Amino acid sequence: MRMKRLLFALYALTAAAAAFAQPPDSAAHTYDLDEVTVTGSAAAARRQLQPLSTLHAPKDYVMENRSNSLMNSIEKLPGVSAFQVGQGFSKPVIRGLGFNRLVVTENGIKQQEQQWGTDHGLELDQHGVEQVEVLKGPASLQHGSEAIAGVIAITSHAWRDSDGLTGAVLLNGGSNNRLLGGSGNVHYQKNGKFVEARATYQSFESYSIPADSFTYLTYIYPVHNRRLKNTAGREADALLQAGLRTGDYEASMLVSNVHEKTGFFAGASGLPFLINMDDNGRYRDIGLPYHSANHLKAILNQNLSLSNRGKLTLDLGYQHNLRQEYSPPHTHGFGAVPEGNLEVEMRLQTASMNAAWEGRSPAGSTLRAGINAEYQRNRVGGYMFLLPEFEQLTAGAFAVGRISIYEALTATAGLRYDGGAMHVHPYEGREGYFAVPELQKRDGSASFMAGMAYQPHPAWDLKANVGKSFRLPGVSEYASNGISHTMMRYEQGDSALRAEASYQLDLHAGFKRRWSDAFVGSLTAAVSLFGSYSPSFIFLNPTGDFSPLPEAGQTYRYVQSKASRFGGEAEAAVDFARIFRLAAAAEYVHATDVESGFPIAFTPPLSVVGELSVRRGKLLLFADSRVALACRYAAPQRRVARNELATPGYSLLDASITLGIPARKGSRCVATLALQVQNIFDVKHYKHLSFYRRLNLPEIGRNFLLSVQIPINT
Amino acid sequence: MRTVKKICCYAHLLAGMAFVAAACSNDDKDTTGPVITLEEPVDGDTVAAGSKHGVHIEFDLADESGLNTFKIDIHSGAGHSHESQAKAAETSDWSFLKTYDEAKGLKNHHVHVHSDSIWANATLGDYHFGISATDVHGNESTVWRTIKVVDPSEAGEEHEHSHDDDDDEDHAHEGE
Repeated sequence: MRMKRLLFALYALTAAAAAFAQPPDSAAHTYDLDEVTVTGSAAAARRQLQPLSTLHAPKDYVMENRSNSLMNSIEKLPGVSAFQVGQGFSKPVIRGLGFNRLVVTENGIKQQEQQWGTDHGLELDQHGVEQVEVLKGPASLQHGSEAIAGVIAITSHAWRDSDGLTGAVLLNGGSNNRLLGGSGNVHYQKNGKFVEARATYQSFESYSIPADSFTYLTYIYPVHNRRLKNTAGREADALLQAGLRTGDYEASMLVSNVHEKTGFFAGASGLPFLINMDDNGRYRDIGLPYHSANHLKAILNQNLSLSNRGKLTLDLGYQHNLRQEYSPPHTHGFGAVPEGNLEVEMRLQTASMNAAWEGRSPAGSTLRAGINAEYQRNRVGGYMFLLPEFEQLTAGAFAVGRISIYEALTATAGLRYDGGAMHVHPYEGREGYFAVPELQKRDGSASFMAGMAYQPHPAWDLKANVGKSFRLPGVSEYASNGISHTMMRYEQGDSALRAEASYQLDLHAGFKRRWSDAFVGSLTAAVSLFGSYSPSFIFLNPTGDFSPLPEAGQTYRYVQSKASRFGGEAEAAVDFARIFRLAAAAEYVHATDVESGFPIAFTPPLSVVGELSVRRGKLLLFADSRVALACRYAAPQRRVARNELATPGYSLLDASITLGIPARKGSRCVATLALQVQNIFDVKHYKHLSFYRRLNLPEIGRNFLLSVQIPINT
Repeated sequence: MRTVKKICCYAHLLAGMAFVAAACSNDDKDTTGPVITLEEPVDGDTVAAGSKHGVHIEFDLADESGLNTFKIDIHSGAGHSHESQAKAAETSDWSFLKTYDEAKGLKNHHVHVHSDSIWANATLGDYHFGISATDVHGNESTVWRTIKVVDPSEAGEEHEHSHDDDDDEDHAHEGE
């Protein structure tokens, strides 16, 4: 019955798309709000027609802002924040939502591991990223479950403009945590084929904080030599990809492996012991507790152009995530101490498929329809129980149409339905605790969007969108039943949870103008606003009752409540006197559980970023040079959830200089040198979105980052 | 504070949102746990293995929204490594864990209790002593101390004396 109604709706949409066929869309102006304008590019035109606000960070942007991890490199983008997992690893957050409320894709395939907790970073090699596109707003229509806050779409393949052998060797270092790293790639392209190989390695020591002690649970703990013990880490990544273009067919494939290992500061797993804080001088060692993750991925993207009958795309992906947490065993009064230090192991295998057809009318209207499917299988190990084993199948079908109502006004609307089935294996538990019964869950959800993009004048760009997105509850929400040592609490799932829905309204206004031969060369400004309401927001609620286990803390149970979120971003940039650029961006989110009135945890504070930069084609002996001074301000966050610490505000100053080194006067660059100083004044500050915030530990102090990139060109 | 409010309000003007008042006020929600004022034991206190009176515990709890439950947790501070297991063949790690509901709904509460008696063969050394308390909203606070279980011959006289005094007292008292 439901299915019939759905099919009818899809049919109506298709009919509407056809009926509204209009004269050719001559709106070819490409006023892009990006720092680097990609005039005339198909991607920029697509972003312009998109009714949701999008941000674009090309490779150069990532390189100029390169920080200790990918999300830190792009966190200055308005509306984007990084959840800090020590140094070296971080997780994306869009407008205060992260984890399983946003989707990260690489070449169209949904990245796994996002669903895991605060102690776990994004497993991607930032050196292999060609571009990052951030879509802010409900995107379940295109990506299915979990795309509530938006999508971070990463592209790692690239076709070069001309055939030949290219590549680069990059060496980088950081002063604060003695980061040493390097990445090298070779790319060979000839007659519509390419192959590329990349290898990346980095190793870092425990990082330094501008404090000699910290206070946690009424104890004052020393921080010897200002080094945060056991926060060292290593990362080793390899990637191989190839592409083929013949006539109407295009394909690319990728095989990559990301391996990470990082230590956790003593207090991150149970109570910190003074003996664990002693300085042994071996800052590069990774001791217990530590975390290791290996992410193997294979992706095949295919695209077939059917000339006047549209285009077919098929993306296939396979991922194998091996996650291991090592920690000395706790007895919990169960008698015998288990063997070994492997606390938790998860082996998650995921196969994904996206298939879509896109048709275009001569008038420029488009219709895109497709299906997505994902199968997961999780196996567990280790002496501690966190998640049960499970298998999950989710699948969805969608159709989205875009029509030009008249020249400068395009409307987009779409519908989707997803269904999911999960089989959770029983876990017998130990002496009555941790037991999980066998569970069969089926759930589904519809999603939709309707929006428009309007350019009343070439300088203006207006967008409005309303959408419903959703996510199916994860296995942890259905079936957790154990102690989270990182959070020091007992977490319990609820198998009666329903799919979480979220309704959101987005408004965006952008302005961009250029002047030739004027003092002010260009002016861009944009404001994006959103308001959302979820009638079934899932979160861990403190029950007020203690778990009967020692050191297990309070029992938290997954519950559903009504939640509201609103906020927005504003940004402005002005280019003046030919070489200068002044840019500023601000973001704010207000999130509340409207049933209880309590704010929602991990909501970033109001923040403002300002940057003054000078870019010159020639500077003394150097070519293509850029010097920048940036200020990052974060307001205090006092709207906190229960048992979440309020965080004071801070202001940090950063500087960076990028210099191109030419072989001889006027020739191409043979090397690019980049130096950054982050937190110049070594300001002691706390980040609200940080794994170590709970322990009241300040964030990283002053850090010099140096990188040299040497391109290989033949 | 004032500048924060101002910035917060500016952000809202900038955002053009209608609910300025709701966001700029600080929501007046209680998000902090009960205040635990621990009198006994203090950090480094010793107690004799085999002591019948156990650990003498005295503290105050206070919460503006009302208390819910509290918990006393004493366990071996050495029990988190393999080494301790190897040498623990002849002695056993003593522990005490108890949750109390007697303060439910009260704003202030005084607690005076004793733990169970300490086993004669209890492993000597550091023990973690913790009190956790929650309020009616589930806000939680915890206080930890390190105490030592020592050989009866090393236990100070003063300590034994204080335990004798406690014998005729109630298990727990309500305060204020």
